[in-house]
Amino acid sequence: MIEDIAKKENISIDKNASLDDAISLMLKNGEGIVVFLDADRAVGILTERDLLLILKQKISLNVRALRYYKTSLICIHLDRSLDYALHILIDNNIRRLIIKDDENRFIGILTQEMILNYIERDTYRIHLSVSNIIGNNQEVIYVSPLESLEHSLKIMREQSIGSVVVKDKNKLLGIFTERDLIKVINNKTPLTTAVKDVMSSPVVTIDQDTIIADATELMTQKKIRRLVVTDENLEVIGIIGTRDIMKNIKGNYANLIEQKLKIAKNTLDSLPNMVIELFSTKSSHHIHWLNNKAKDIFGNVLDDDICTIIDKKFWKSIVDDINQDCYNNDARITIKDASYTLSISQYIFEEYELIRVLFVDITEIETELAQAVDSEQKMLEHLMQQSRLAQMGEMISMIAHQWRQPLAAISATIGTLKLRNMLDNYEKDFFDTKLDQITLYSQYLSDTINDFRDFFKQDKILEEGNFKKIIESTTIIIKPSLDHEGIILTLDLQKDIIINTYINEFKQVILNIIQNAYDVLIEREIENPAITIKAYESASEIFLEISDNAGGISDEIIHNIFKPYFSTKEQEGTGLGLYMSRIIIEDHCKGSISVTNSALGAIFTIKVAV
Amino acid sequence: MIDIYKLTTKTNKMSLLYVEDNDMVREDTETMLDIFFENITIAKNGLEGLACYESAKYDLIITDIKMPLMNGISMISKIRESDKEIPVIIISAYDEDYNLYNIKHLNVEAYITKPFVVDELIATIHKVSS
Repeated sequence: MIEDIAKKENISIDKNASLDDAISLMLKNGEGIVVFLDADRAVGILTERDLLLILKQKISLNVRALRYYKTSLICIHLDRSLDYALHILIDNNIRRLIIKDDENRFIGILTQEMILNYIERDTYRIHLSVSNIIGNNQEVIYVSPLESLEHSLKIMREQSIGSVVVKDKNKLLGIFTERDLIKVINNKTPLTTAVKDVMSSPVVTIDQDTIIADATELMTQKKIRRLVVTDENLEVIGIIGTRDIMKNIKGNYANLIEQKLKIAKNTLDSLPNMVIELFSTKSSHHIHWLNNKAKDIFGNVLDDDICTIIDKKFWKSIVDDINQDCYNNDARITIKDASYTLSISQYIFEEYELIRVLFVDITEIETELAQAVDSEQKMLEHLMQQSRLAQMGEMISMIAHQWRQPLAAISATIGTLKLRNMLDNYEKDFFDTKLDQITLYSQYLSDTINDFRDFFKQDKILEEGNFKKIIESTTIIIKPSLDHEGIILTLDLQKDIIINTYINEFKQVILNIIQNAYDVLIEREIENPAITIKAYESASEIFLEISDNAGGISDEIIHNIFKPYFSTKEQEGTGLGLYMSRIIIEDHCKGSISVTNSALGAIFTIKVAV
Repeated sequence: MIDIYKLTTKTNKMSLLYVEDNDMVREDTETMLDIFFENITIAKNGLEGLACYESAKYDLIITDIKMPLMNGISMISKIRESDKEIPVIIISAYDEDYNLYNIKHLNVEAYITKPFVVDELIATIHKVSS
């Protein structure tokens, strides 16, 4: 744990301290950093790099430091692993981290050097030599020994480098680094002083074939952070610093990250989408990098757990999916009125893993989609209404068939009574019987009306119903119409099938299919017209087959019959009946509807889950 | 004003062929027709009706149109091939206009629609019987 190697002594100072005191402390601690505390919380840092600026601005050192220290701190929690700290340092291109505890109290600092010194020798790549890792190092900048301190600092500032090498002709005299700068400021050395008077000397050089581990040891020994690298002719070929070594510890890790992720990160930074990278352990996922867009939205959340910005349960379900390898990059989240789906990639290394979360903004798409769905819904409702109206029209003719015969019977009975009356033939019992009969017929008419009215009641809830009864109560309605045309209706219904469905909608579908069969049987003037309804169930499904002997549906149109506005009935058809039947069965009842041809005619099959 | 006593006395001597497929309608109508006719032959469709016509002599035919096996129109057409005289009354719900046009040549006495008013039937039977 990093807590073990973090350093606390001579690092922190009260937030109201002067620059002078801060720089003295920096000199004393030798770490090139001072942390400013408010009570026991870190509120700012001052580094040796900042001194370059302070020196340039010729600021009096008596002033309070708080005007000059940086307040955006990169802190991590004390129980994080060393690996984790390493990632943060490298990925965010920083040299040191502030360590805090649960209560955000300052615990200490952790620098690249501390990590290097801590790591066992054998964690370095043994065969890797200094020359292997200075390849992309920047060019060494030389100054002459008589160059002023002021000019040397200007070069360092402009080149954004931490050191210049002092060289006279071909002779290396020394090196001036940021570390020397602390001394300069502390001693209030005038800036006109020649650089040779403040440089570190002699220069510690190292052969390019030295292995990395030895170079590190040398730096630790000499308490320095840079080594000048020379070739076999003792020509300077570069400078190697702790940072370069850092990147190469643990095998080629840093190169991998640098070459692959860094390039990717520049790209990710320019993305309009938020990207967050998480360092994951068994129990938590910490934000260790976020792109510019994510910073805009979330602010400074580095090292925070992902659950500080994303709901805990929501994140857990995603992690579960990732672990089961079934995450589909489709989790939806709303942040500040915008909707996102989370696209996640995972990079698994030996001891840890990285998770990269891409927030894909779908607000606009979602709005459009919602509008589309809404208008589709309205369209569907409209079609449903049209279809119901059409079916009602058909039912009115069914009612007419239902009513004609009882009405004829009533009129005949009334006629009988009237004739008897004319003939003064008042037989009391006969009259009573006939009047009761009329009452019975009226009751029948009333029942018929109720049947039809119920049929068009809207289904609001799923209901359990006996499948046989549902079918029978449907056929009652159309039976007189079928009888009228001499169409034989045969029911072959397995008993005791229970179905959980929108019963009236289901009845409408059955009626619609029977009505179609009825129409086509009449249109084609089929001899001995017949419709058969068969219901049976398997272990998992309920089947309903409605077949006729009207000769079937031609191959050219059989694939179209469930499409909207498709009709073979020249004037009367709306082309919605079977389309709505499909919608009802598939969308509402979660079943399927299909059609095939038998030798005799069409067979419509409806399947629904038990 | 039709004298119903006189009329029934007259019609009681006539024989009637009544053709209707619907049981309920047929039974109730028959009860009413019983008041006019003592001798009624029942047929349940056109085919039966034709068979009855060919096997006996009737003074009047009352028939429905829409029936299985053979409808009323076909039956009358067949009868009209050999018998232009026998009076025919249609009592039917099948009241679309084209049907009225189609039966013009069949020379039927009356076309009474179901449900019917008894006075219309009385008037028609009166006309036929005189």
